[in-house]
Amino acid sequence: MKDYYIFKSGRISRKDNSIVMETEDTKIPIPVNDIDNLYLFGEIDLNTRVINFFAKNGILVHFFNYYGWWTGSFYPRENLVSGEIIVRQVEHYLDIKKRLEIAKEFVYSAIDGFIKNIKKYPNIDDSNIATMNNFSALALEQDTIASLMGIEGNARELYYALFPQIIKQEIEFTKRVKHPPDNMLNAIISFVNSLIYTAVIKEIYRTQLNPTISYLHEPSYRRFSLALDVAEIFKPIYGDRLIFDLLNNRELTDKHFDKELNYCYLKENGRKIVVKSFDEKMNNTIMHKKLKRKVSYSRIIRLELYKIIKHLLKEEPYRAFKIWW
Amino acid sequence: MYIILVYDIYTETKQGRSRLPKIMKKCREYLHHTQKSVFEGEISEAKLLALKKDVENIINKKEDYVVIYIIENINNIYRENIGIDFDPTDNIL
Amino acid sequence: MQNPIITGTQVAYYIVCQRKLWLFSKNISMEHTSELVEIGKLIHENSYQRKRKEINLEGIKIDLLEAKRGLIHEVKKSKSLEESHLWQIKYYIYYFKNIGIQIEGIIDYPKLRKRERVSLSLEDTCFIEKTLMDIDRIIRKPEAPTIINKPYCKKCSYYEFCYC
Repeated sequence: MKDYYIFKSGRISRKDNSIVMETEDTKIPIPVNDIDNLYLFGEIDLNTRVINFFAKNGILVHFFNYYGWWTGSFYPRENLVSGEIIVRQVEHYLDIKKRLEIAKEFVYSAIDGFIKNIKKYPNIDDSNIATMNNFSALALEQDTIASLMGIEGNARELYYALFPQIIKQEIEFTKRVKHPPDNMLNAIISFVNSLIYTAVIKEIYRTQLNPTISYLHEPSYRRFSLALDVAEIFKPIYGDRLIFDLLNNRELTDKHFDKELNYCYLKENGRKIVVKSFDEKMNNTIMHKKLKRKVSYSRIIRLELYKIIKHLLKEEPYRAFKIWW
Repeated sequence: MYIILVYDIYTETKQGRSRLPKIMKKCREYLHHTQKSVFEGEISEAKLLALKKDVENIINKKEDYVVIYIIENINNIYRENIGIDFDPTDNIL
Repeated sequence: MQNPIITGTQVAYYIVCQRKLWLFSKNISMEHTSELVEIGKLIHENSYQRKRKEINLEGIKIDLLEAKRGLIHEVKKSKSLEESHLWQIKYYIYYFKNIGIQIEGIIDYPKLRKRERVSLSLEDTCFIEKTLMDIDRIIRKPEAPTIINKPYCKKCSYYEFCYC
């Protein structure tokens, strides 16, 4: 099974018991049993018949607009529901001590990712690592979500400030701007982060966890706020590493971007390059020390969710993922 | 695993001709359509078992036959095209 | 409070792994992740296509009932967890006996082309009654039983969950 990324425009429909993509000049059959997720970047027509068919086959569909911003996901009705898990998810949200315990792990692990990334670049002054270490220690001391978020924000600010020393291309990047991104680097960070976010959404769908109950972000913040929480862990180690490689190997250059008055976005050819390496990366495997078997990068996200479930069941305190390579 | 599936359906009879679209549709649920009666793609062991059962139910075992080439390790496949650059297994469309 | 009826699967899991029993009873299932489970289901669906008669009485899900001969069948993939298959079918025999129906059981291994006859002794009845009480006790616990660390864990659909 794989994820399919559709850049063409046309109609995706159910044909017999499978899927077909029709463009102006061709018909491309896509085997339904091979589809894990669908990413739609082009202008696509869908009808309820095909959406019901997606639901039946547990296929998630992620929608992106003309500029490549994620606009939403079709999350089929859950078939894995456990009242026990939902009750415990809520219990750990309502009790601020329990909530903080989980939220801190997300922040701690995110900062750990920043540090591991910085360490790969010897030209960056060690004092930055010391400051980062300070932030992680501080994160563990916070007793409100707001102040924890504050620490995370500070760490992230320093981290982004170091990007010009990591990226070998000449790009203007003063600070992280999201809505909308104002330059090349912001554009690619936004795009890659949305891919990480959807990758987490799809793994949550395969567990009993409810995607709306979250710990670091407020549950009301977005539809899939738990995915935002978990994405914090993987943004630096999956996302940023991908960005550094693409830019430093000059696979992506300014010709892949379009800049309008106040914002910048990846053109289709650029998006395709990112998506291709992202897809390859998620299918990469690595020997898992505890499981003693090979697992893919995307499976590591699932395992993270399992660890959260075990924490909620009070089996093992949750220790968020820290990359060892 | 990765498989290449080819079929030959006996189409001299009306029943045979009606089996042809059936088997094609079934294969399209699991595999990529490479050309006329040739399909290929990555597939799990369980899905292959399901596909084989479905194929058995469609074909006439006295007149038709289906060959499945199985490559256990997907890394052992090297695909080379002569002519039009066409890869039906592409997941970026 | 009497629990809703205990299922044959729960009895089988009790024999195999009480942790699995607990998780499964809380609807924390992992079967969708397992290739082996998927294969098992296919074998199941493809056996007895002709005389297929599945009955489902509140959790007592029997693959095939031959009413005239007083036989129930249960289809299994392999003998690796034979004990649990045995007790699952013995539990069904016990269940029917309690509602006044005398039957015997057969376990089919279509892949191995084998079948085994199963009946219920007095000792078995005692063991099943003890098991049912035990199951009830385990699934009421607030925490899951610990990992059992058996060689067959590696093939279980919960393996990644338990050991990650």
